[in-house]
Amino acid sequence: MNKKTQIAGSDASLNASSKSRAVTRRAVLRGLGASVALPFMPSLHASPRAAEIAMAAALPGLPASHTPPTRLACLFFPNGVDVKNWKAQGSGKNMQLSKTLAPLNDFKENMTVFEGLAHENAKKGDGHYVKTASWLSGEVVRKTRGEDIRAGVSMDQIIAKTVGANDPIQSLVLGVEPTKSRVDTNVGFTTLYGGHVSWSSPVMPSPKEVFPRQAFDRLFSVSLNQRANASILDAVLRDANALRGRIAAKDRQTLDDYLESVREVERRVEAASANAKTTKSGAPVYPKGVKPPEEGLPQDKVDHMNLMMDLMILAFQTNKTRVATFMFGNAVSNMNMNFLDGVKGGHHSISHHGNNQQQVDMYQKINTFHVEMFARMLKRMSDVEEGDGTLLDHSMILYGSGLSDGNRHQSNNLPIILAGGEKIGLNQGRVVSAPKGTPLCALHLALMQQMGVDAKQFGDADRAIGL
Amino acid sequence: MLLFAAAVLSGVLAGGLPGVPGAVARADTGQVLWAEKVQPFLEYYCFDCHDDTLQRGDVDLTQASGPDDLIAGFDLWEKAMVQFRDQQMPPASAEQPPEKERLAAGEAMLAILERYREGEPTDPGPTHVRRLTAEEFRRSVRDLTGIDTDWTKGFPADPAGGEGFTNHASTLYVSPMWMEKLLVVGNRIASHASITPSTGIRFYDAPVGERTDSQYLKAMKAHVAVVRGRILEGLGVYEDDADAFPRYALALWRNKQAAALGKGVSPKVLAQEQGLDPDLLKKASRFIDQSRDKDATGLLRILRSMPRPGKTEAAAQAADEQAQQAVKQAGQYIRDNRQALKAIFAAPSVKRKNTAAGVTDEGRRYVLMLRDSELKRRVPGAFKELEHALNDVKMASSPSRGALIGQARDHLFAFAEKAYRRPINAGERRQLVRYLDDAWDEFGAFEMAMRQTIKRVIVSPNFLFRIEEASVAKKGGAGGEPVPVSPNDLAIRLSYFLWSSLPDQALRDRAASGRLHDEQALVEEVRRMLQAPQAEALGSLFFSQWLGYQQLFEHPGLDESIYPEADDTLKEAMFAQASAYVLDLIRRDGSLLELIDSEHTFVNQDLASLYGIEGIQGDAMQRIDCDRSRGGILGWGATHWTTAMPDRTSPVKRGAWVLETILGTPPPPPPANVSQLEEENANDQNLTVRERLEVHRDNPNCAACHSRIDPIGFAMDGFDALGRQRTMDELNRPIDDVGQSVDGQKMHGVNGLKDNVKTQKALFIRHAVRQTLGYALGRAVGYYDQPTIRQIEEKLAEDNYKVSTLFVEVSKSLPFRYRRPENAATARNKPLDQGPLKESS
Repeated sequence: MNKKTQIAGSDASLNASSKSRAVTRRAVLRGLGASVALPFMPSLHASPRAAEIAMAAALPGLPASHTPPTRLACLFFPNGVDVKNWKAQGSGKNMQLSKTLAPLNDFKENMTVFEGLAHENAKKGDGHYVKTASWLSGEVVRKTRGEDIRAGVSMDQIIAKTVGANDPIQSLVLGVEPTKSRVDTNVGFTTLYGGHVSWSSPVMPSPKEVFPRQAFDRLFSVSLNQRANASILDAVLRDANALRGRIAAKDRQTLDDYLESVREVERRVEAASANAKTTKSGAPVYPKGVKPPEEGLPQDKVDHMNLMMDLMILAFQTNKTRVATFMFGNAVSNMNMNFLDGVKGGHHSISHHGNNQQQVDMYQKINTFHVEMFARMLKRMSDVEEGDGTLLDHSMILYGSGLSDGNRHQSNNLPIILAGGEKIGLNQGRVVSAPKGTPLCALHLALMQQMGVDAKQFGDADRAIGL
Repeated sequence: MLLFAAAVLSGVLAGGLPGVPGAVARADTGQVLWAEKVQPFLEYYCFDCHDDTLQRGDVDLTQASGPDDLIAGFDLWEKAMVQFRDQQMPPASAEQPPEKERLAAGEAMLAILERYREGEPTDPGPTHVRRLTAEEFRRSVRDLTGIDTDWTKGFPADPAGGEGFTNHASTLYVSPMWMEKLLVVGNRIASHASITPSTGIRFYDAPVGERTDSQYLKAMKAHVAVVRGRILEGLGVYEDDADAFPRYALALWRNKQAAALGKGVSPKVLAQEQGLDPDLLKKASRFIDQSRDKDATGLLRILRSMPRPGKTEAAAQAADEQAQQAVKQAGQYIRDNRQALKAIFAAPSVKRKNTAAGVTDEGRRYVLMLRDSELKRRVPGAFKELEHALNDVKMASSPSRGALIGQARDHLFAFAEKAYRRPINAGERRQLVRYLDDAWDEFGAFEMAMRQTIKRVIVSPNFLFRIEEASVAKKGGAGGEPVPVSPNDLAIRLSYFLWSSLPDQALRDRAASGRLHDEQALVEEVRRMLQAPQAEALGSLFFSQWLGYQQLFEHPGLDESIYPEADDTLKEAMFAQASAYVLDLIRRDGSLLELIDSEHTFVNQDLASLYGIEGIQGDAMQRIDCDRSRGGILGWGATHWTTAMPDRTSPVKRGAWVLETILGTPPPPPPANVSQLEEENANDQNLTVRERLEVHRDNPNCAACHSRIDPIGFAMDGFDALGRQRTMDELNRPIDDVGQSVDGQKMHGVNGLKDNVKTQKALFIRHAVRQTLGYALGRAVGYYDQPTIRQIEEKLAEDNYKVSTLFVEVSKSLPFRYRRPENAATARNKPLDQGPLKESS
């Protein structure tokens, strides 16, 4: 079949046929690890119990218990969506998905499509940066070229600091595009905002990792286990404390960040030393069957995204962390999307399609592509058996953007989907039409509570949405 | 209207005469101007859109409630006035003020701002503690260890802030992830170190490996042999052919002047030309570059003192003659040393003594060499090293911990002082020694303990952060007076400004002499630093971020089916082209206007073949004379690549780029619901980009900005996305590269654009000063910097816009040399009460 026509099918109405799940040729080729460098652990096909035993034996990490922990991944895509083709109605098996959402056909019973959620605080400011930096924080993003950055603490980082405090890694913050080092003088914002959805403090982003190998090494490397680091960290803590007294109050924050980072690494060194697995020569021991990815940035963007998403799964599967975020691109990303059939040009330029039908079609194809990537991740997670279900059943995957209609920079009625979590009691298979003005933060609050954070209020929400 | 426009620019050029008794009545204070002319006008014509609720275009003009607020919001108001001057605001769709009223309000606002600009700088603005950027870390480690490697590859990108540079203090974070990566890098750096108690810490290009004490001893003994070998190699290499000495010297000189000659001259090529042994020449070249032996410095000094190739023919000839002289001298030097040493090493008496004493030849010879005063005189550096090496063997053979630490500690202190960029105190010394001692316990070997201590220094906040002596700032500034930074801190500011790295020995010495605040000494130092190799950082960091060629590496990528040549190698070449261009400008001390317009550029073979230029070989960038349209920024490949869409050129992006990057007047963002190529005709594929934009401009809302942006882009249409000149566009239509500027002037192609930009050179220069100042200070430029900027603009105009003047004047400026006093929370001054207004022309 000519898959070009399949994708470009002109029918924009709801499409319930599971056969027409639109997938590009290249995504198919790469699907399920065909060319991805991270083969999965053998436990994939073993019985849950055997898998846990294998895991506990091979890996430092959380103690393997019979109740897997609840995990949360938040996947962000930039530049909004073609809203006409982002629609769902009905429930469960009978849910009808529009063209862009069609790749999720196999997961209709494992997800909820939210309608009507909005970020009041992101309406002012510029078209992209504030809508990215505040996606998980819900706070007002301060307009600045770099002085006095402020975007609020994101909910994933609140979770990381409370329930994840004793995990080997508090949270995994991943992306594919390095944060842009610029000031966007047209709008008066530093592009720093556009590179971060995770904020570890109101004034400091949690940097994202874009190199697959570096992310992998953080999960499995023993470089931190060396006893040597403990004494160094002690010594430089003393240095920093000595300096702290010498400098002006306004500059202390800089050194405090340093101090806090040193303490956090100290904590990790201790944790890692306690259950480090190395060979006699000191080489790290990886989970069976898992090889580290290549150094550097993958040339192929689809490979790159797949790898980073696989790393999230691997981190969850091996109990390295329970919170992760991933950005398909930075705010205003103009990623060259010509690897998709029928698409020519940069993502952001295409998103401002001006209702030119050809451009709108390309925009929609890009939206579909990201949904395919999301669906692939769900598929892989549902293939990992865990406890009384699958990894997906014990995880919540938030998928969405800070913009609805990218052409018009709208931040009402945000495109938001929550998948997974069947074994933690989520009521999935729904389309939830939230009353007008319902804050996205109400969903964030609900997710925080699910993860075990004792919070009554978050951002502009003082009530959690029912999950 | 013209009057007003001229007045806006006259502020840049006229030269401030603060305190000149004004022809304007005393009563015309800023407060009165504000209340009578400005406030009512804004309220009537502007607040409908630009109030705190609507904030059209993200602009809220109601924030200002008096003239002081106008000054505090200098940037915003300066921009607003340009819009106003060009009659872009209020927009055509809104009620237009009568011309007389518009002029009066404009002049009043201008008078308030200009009077502030015309004043003397009084407030140095804030100074923040900041972390080294990744690039500064790399260069600092290079100057600390001699190893230049991309240590911070894989670190999270340093975000930019302020004027758009990564060295902006408040966006340089430290996160746990960053810290983890730093620890790994610290290990890697330390693993390159080899430590001997007497000569100290040496870094090698390859990791040295962990050595137990006995392995260490073996290595030290081997070192003695190596030192001797080096003495022989360094001095004995030429002994076979006495006539070859001057030719070797000449070849070495040309080899070392590769940059100035504009083309790479490899030892291999030179050896062939001069009939020399290529391996020997290569060895000698490397020896001179890398050896820290003092015995190489004599030769190096002579080679360095040789003149660079001149530009004009006469200068070149004079230079050649000088060079010949110097070459002779160098040849003689080599010859002399060779003879002296040959005599010493080969003396039959030495041999006899060796055998007589019943000791091995080797051992006896060393001892004899140590006693030889002639050797000591001839090759003092190598002699000393040999002395040290023998001493180390002795030390390491009977390693008493106390003795070894006693020997090593001074090297450690010197290393820490260089890294921390300041003297270290007794407490810090004690701590380092204690740390070394503890690490020895932990690792059981001296060298590993030393490496661990090196790593500890590199991970220390004393190395990673630039922290100035606040105690100095506390003194003096009781009355809110700016406080000079300490000489040492000034040296550090200079070295990170011009080199993005540590101060070198000469700069440290100058600081230690206490004369760095002396204007003459400061200027000399800046000029020296601009000529030093480390000034490459200005090309690869400062200009690259200002002029945007850094963006090559952030560009989302050109469509490979349309631009198959557009690979990473080409990107690197375009970056190198731009870097070479600005560095050449700095070294020659040319005019800043050469950035806009010139008849030369730099290319290597790849770029030359891309642009259809013949006769260029090799990867090195070479200066060529070229057509005017190829000269300067607008002819760089980088400019066209970074402003291109993946599949085509974009007149809008190009136009906006010129307005932002060259003129410093970025257009506001387009309204959200408008695409760059818009609407009714958007589906008509037969229209060219230009035709579609013309339709677009029929809409008055779009026209306000696009009448400025698009014509510039049109004028650049003769270049494709890679900067190749073209006659047909992507749709295979003939290029029309004529743009009509706002004032009705036609710009024919890129040369017409250059002429147009040069008529606005005041804006360009103002932007250049602002960028340089922001980069130098690592912070955003504030209203308090406006008088400084004005002063530097004036100096540049007096000085034909010489590049060195820009760097010298920024280095001399108040914000660069002073700090705000600690106790002045907000050192905001009240400029409006200083005196009568100047008459605005």
